[in-house]
Amino acid sequence: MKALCSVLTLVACASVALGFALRAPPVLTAAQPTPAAAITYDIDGGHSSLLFRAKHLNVSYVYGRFNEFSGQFTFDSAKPENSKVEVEITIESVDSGVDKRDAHLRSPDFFDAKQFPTATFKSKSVRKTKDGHFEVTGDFTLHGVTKPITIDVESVGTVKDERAGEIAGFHGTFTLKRSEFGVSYGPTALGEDILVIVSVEGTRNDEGGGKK
Amino acid sequence: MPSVNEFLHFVLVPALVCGVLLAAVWMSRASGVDKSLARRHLQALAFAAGMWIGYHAIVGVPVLPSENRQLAALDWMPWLVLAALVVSLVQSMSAGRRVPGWAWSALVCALVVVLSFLGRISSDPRWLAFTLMAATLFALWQSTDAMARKLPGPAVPVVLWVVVTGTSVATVLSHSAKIAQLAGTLAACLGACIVVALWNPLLSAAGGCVAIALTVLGVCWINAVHYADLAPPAAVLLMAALVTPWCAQLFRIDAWSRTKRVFVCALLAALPAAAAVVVAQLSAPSYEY
Repeated sequence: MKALCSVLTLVACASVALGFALRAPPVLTAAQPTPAAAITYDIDGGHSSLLFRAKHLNVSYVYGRFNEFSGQFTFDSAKPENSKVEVEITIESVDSGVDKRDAHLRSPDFFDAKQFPTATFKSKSVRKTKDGHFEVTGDFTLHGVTKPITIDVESVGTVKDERAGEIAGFHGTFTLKRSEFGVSYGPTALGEDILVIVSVEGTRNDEGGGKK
Repeated sequence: MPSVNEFLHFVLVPALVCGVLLAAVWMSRASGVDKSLARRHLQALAFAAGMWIGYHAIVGVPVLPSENRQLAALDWMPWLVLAALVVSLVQSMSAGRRVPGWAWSALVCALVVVLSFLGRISSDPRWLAFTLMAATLFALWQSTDAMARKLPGPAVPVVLWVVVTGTSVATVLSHSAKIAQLAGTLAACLGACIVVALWNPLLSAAGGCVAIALTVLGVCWINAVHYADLAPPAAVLLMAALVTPWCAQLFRIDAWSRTKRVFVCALLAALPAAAAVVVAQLSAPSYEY
């Protein structure tokens, strides 16, 4: 009987321990940069943001965002010049928090979503400016107009998640003049300079090639 | 809401420039057939100048497509206005009249449709719809031109003004202030035309005035329906408004006084134009935010 009780107690303890083990948070370890190896990441839309800020009536700033965008970036910590990024933004997903304003933003007055359903960015060069900071230059296409832009990017960090795999995050900002992209409507109501804030988190794509 | 400065630039300045040029074209009241024909086509210069000034104020400097620039359908408007002007100028010369006028207007109508869907035709080849659009625009052009030849003076410019103003109001209710403002510029130019026609009743909208007005209207309607939110029935009502002077012909209005004629034509055009505005209002949510 004693032996049976001991076995049952052991089994119960083991079950509880196993339960805790399954519910335990994933073990995160800071990823060691892979020497001289470029790693390709798929942008995780759920943990990435693309915001823009426009001046309204010269008195305040209005913020908006694009809820849908996808792409990939390749990061080579040893040779940053080998890094690259490609992003495609769905214009229809513009969200300024006011439905009627969003309808106007999608109209021919602004983004003209029916004629130009996507905006894209394709990097051409990446340059390290200081530790963890980079200058990404590339072609940005918006409203049918392609122009070179430079984004100041900060490497936020990399991590290894037991379930999701290797994750890297970057944060960048750039300012564009909207009239240069043919979005010139309402010059007195809306400022010319638009600040764009990009914060992306990417999951390592072991295929390293095209989009998933 | 446009500022006073913007309003001056896309309404008053185009109207003034158009009015002055129209007055210059129609300065003398001499009405020789050849002279009158040349004037009709030359007045396109006045409307084209007004539209280019208005476009510059509303959209900016007209641009051409390039490797790094794909044009939106509305960006073609100044170039289409230029095409209509060239066609009118060619027709003002005797050599240009060897080619029938309808062939020139058919060419511009085809250009309006093709350029409005350029880059999108291959992915969505609805050729029948495109042909119907061009044919409808062509029919409206010919109908308005014929009416303008039949009714010189302010009657047809007034009808055009009613239709263009209706287009402007309907499109602003359909999420495109830019198209509405461009139509507003045309309405301002037509307003100047009405004033000149009151001063010189020999003025006929046939030729250049109809050429520019129908080109701009075609671009506005296609853009408003396909790329903004104008309900197609509203566009059809606006087109119907353009042919209402033919209904007035049932009452033999040629014999009426000029004032009565203009009033009846305006009233007949205003009914479907107002209905178009109501349809646009009901089918699109409020513009205010």
